Amino acid sequence: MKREIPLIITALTGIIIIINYFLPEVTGKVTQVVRNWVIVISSFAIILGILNLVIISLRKTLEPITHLDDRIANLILIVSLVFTIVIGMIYGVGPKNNYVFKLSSDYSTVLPLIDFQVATVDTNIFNSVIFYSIYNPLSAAMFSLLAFFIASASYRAFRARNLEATLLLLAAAVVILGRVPVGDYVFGFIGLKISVVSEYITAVINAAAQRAILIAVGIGTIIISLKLLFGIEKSHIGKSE
Amino acid sequence: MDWSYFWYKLYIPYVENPLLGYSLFFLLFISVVFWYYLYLVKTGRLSKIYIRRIPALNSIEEAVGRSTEMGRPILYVPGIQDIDNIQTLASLAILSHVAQRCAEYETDFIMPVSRSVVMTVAQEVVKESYLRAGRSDLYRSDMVFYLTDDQFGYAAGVDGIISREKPGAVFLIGAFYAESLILAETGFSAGAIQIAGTAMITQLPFFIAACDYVLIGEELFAASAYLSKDILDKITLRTQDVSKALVMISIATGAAINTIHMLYPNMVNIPILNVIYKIFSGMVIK
Repeated sequence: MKREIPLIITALTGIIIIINYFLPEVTGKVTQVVRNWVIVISSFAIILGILNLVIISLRKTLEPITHLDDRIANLILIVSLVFTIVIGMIYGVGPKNNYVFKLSSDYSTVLPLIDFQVATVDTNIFNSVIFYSIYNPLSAAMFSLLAFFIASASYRAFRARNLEATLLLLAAAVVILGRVPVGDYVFGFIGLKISVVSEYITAVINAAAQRAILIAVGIGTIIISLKLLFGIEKSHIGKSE
Repeated sequence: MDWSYFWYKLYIPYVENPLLGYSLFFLLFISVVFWYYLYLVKTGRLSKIYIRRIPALNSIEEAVGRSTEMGRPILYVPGIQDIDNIQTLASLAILSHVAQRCAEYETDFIMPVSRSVVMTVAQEVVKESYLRAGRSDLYRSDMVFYLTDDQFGYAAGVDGIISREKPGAVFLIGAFYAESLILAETGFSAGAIQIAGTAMITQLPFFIAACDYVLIGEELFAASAYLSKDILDKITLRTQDVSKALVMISIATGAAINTIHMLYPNMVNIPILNVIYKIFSGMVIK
């Protein structure tokens, strides 16, 4: 029964949602009710996740066999977690707007115009310190890594090792040159408008390939859903064969 | 009960949104094909299905074996979406297979997750895989652990784990967004063999550039059937192929009919051609 009950629940919920999609006027707002259940269950699951995180991090911090850098990383995690929760509970998470005077200058005129403007600033310590001063810069730092990683990944991808890689390199070169004004200028000498070729590659060849993948993904999604509904796919309940 | 009102309520969404009718037709078509193959299997008329080779799935064995030889753990990332995402579910099917291989080879297994519901489900999947391999003694509940729901916080956490633990193989299978390349490049710099799989169109080029093997789009959904020995699993692949054939025929017919209409606009005066033209143009047939 441990296996059958989740399968029955999955099948019933799935069938109800499908019927609701195709016959919305008949089944009413059942989808909304199910979505609300999902929100409630997810909220409880977050507590479970945090507990798991704290237990595992504490264990790794206290265990003498763990590497020192691993122990320090886990200790920082626990301290940050507790600090954030405490600050959030003391100061709350809602905005606390204060009005401040802000200096602005307009250099478009002959003599610069200095002006004062009234601006609102969120002075809640949770938002201003933890969110705007710590969390946002750290997230931005992680995101900015992408620029360097794209450069290194492109370098490897565009090495002309075989025919496919050479075609990729050529296509990339055309698209890059087509996006900068100098591309049209340089190729203009041989009567080629490279921006048009670049546009053709992205809007026709690339779009066609992407749509083919998208259609196949859509069909794959339906098939997996049918497998779940019919109880053929059991991996989510810990059984694959 | 007023039956005319009932039928009106059934019919009206399809008048307001004709595309709903196409969705219903396609769903019914797939279901019928699926049931047909199911019938063939049940009656013993179909016992073997040819499946083309998928290199990324064949390399799972190689990746686990390499990690075992190097004495390094295996890292599995199931994407950053919750259990309601179909890619996460497809990833869990592959996880089951990878975890079983890890148990058989006695290789360390690490799985940080970004959703707590995925964590509980993945713990169950990994536990079951270790049991199936007959190595339940090797299973530890902290193999699968929660990091954070935040996208870049999770990427930073996983990058830290890759840098410290130096895994021999990294599996990036599921739904990914901007963090895909951050994870893949860190895995590459750690010298890990990388197997990725996603249906996110925008992230596929990053995985192809940075990983050794990639499950592209639908291959991710075909993985569980490919890895399974059960014929019932494999018929879903045949259903998928037949559905794709229908889509291809529809696209070709639609393109041909619209081209003919551009050349000969008067064709809509012939009733049958008018109906066909309206069907392939997404118009309401009254």
